[in-house]
Order: sequence, then structure tokens, then C-alpha cells
Amino acid sequence: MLLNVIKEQRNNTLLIRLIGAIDEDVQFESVVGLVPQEIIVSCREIPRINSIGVKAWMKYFQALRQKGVKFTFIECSTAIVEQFNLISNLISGGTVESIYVPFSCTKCKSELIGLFKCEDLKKSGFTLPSLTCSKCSGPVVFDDIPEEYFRFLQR
Amino acid sequence: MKDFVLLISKTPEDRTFVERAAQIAGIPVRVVDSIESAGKVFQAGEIPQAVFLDLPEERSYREFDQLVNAQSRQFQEALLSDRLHFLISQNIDECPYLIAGPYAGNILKRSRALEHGGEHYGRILQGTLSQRGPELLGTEFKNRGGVTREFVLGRTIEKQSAIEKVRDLFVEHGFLGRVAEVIATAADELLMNAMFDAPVDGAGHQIYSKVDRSTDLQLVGRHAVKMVVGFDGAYGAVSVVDSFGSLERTKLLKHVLKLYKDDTYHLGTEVAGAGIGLASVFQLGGSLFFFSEQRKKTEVIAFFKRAETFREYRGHFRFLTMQFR
Repeated sequence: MLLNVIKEQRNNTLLIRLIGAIDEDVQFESVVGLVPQEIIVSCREIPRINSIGVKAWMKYFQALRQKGVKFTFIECSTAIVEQFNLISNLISGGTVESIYVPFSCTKCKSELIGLFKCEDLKKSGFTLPSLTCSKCSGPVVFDDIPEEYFRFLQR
Repeated sequence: MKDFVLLISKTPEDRTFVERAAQIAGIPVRVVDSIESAGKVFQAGEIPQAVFLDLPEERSYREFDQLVNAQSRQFQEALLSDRLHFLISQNIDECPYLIAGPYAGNILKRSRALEHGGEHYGRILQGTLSQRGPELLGTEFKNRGGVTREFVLGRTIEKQSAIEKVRDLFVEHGFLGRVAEVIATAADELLMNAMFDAPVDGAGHQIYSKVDRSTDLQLVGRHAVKMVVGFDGAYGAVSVVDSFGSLERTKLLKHVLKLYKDDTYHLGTEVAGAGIGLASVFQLGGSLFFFSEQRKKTEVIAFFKRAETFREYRGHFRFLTMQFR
């Protein structure tokens, strides 16, 4: 699945939605095109990123930073959060505004995700609210290792 | 070489784990609770088929090193040939002495459910002792009623469609979507390594180290790459085989064990690869088994535990095992 990019202009800010796996075929410069001084990158629909994708990501966002572009990552998928945790400088000088947090339903075992603002997570000491399953209304629990999943927010 | 496995540990869970692993491999176990007691076994001239060790800090590692150095050269050579299996509770980056030392190779990270991993590691142990190589996914998985599917790739650009199929296959077999994505990423990394990093020329120099990874190359003859994926009910696995046998232990250790959780990752421009793929697979809960016959073949198998939750999957014991022939 090749990376698809949907762009939306919001006042002076460009919102780009990245859709698909990030790998050796990704050409950020050509698919994103010219960018203004501020961009918001939605990472909600990135299911995975391979090592060459990581390299391409860093090369692109580090170059943007050098040009003085301000970028904010929003709605980061679990795959992107995992990589933020594994590569300390993957954020490349940007800001992570919100991430998806994985949950598991204790009743029907469904995999669920919930969107949280990083600031709120930090303020709460990474304590998550009690939630119920959208499919069976059963109780859901955070489904990862907290010290691993929220590691990048504690650096 | 004596037909027994030696365990050096005081931990009951280690004993349960190793006893089960050795039972599967069909080898008896001897247990000692100290390096000093292990010394008595070694001094009797008995070289075990495999040694499992719990060396929780550098001091005990040095003690073991001294013990090995006090033995005959024949003993040292036998023991250094991939027969040591270190049991650790910490993260790998917290025990650098294991990686830097001469015995680096087989590392098992304990978990709360270590004792249940014995059966699985028993098959790995069997593979390490076999002269033929692991054969864990072909005959072995099928013998236990498992499912396997083979992919032979004719061109590098067929990788994308193959890894999408791998992902779908594991979802169909009840793996969590998130774990299936990790397995697909592992298949991706193993295939890229086999396609672009493994090929070497007659002098042993990498042929494609500077070639962009999106290049469309034909995979014919010696460059053919085979991938087998399998599922046996408890574990999913991806095996990728190349026909070069060019894997180097030091390079491998550097790539698998180097972490950038706190260190800065620098973008290298001299090679096209990123050097972080295998480490990601391991860090994201995969176990890795490398089997390399110099200049003949390299087989890399990544294993993933099937679990009801991602937390359970991440908490499962995992290992890094390497065998060089």
C-alpha cells in the first residue's frame, strides 16, 4: 500500500494526512509538495513504518526544521508512537500534540484505540480514565506497558 | 562433547524453563547454583552441549570468564561456538558486558511466564544443535499440525504485496491487528536484508549496500529469496533464507542490539540501509533466530507469540539466538 497524502489548507497552516505504510517508496518532498511555515501532520492512518521509512521521515522533517518550518504531529497511530519510543530523535524537532492509546476490552477482547492529548496525559501522570468498549460496553484496559508506551513523553 | 545441558542458576523458574527446553531437545540437564560448582563440572573435562547461565551482573560475568579461561583451549573453543545461552531479566542495554564480551550470541529475556517458554525454546535449542539448520518452519511446524505458506520472490518490488499477504494471514489466524503489523514489518526488514544486504561478491564485499532500497532488482539464481511464514497455534513465525551466508556476528550484534531510545540516531549517507530494522523487530516483541552457513546460506526466523492482548504479547519471554557454521 503506497503512501497517500491528503492536504487541507487551514488559514496559514497546511494539514497533511498521511495514509498508508511508510517505507522505501515514500517520497515526502514530491507527495507533500511545497509547505508553508507551519504544518500539521496527521499520523492516524499509518499502520507501520519500516527502517527505510524511518530514515526518509527523519531526512524530510529534519530538512523542514532547518528551513524553519514549524510542524506538529497529531493523532499519532500506535505504530508511530512505538517508533517515537524506539528512536529518540524521530520527532525531529517537531511537537507531538496527540496520540492514540491502545485498549483491550476485558469482555469481548476487541482491540480499541482512544485519542489523547499529550499534555493531558502528562498532567494526569499517565493515568487513563475508566472507559467502556464501543462494541459490547464491557470495561476496557490500557493494552501496552505504560513505561514503554509513554516513554517518549517522559524524556 | 558430553550429552547434557548445564544450567547455572539459583532461580527455580530458570530450572523449570531449561528442564522443559532440554526435554524437548532430548538432552538431560544438570543444574548447579554457582560458577564455582560449574567449575567442578568443567574440571572433570565434561563439555556440555549447551550452557544456560544467569549472570545478573558484570562481576559474575567476569567470574565466569575467568573460569572459562582456566580451561583447555579445546574446551574454550567448544564453548565459544554458540553454546552459551544467557538468561537476563533486564533490558539488553542494561547489560552491556554480555554484548561486548566474547560469548555474545544467545540471549533470553525472562518474563513473568518464562516457564511456559521452555517448550518453544526447546525447539530452538534443537535447531542450534542440528547440523542441518533450524528447519523450524518447514517440517517442524507441519509435523505439529501448523500452517505454513511459502513465498518465492522474483523481483524486489514484489516485497510490498508479499508483506501485505503476511499481515492478512496473521489477522486471519487470530493475531491481534497490532501484532500482525509488527510481523509484517519484521517480514519487510528480513526481506530487505536478504535482498540488499546479503548479496556479496567473490571478495565478500556487499553488492547492493549503496543501492536505493526501492530499486527493482531481479532475484534470480543465487539472488533468489525465499520466505516461509508459519503458525502453530501458539507462535507465528517468518523465515527468510538467502544463498549467500554472508552474515557476520559482530555486525549483527551491533545492529540488533543497538538502541536509540536515548541515543541520537544519525542519518548515514554512506549506505542505503538504515541499520535499525532488526533492532526494531526485537524491541517490538519479536524473537530472532539467525542460522548462517558461511558462503552457503543464511536463514533468519522471527517468532511472535500469539496473545489475547498486546500487553501479554509484549510481556512474553523472547530471545536472540545466533548460530554460525
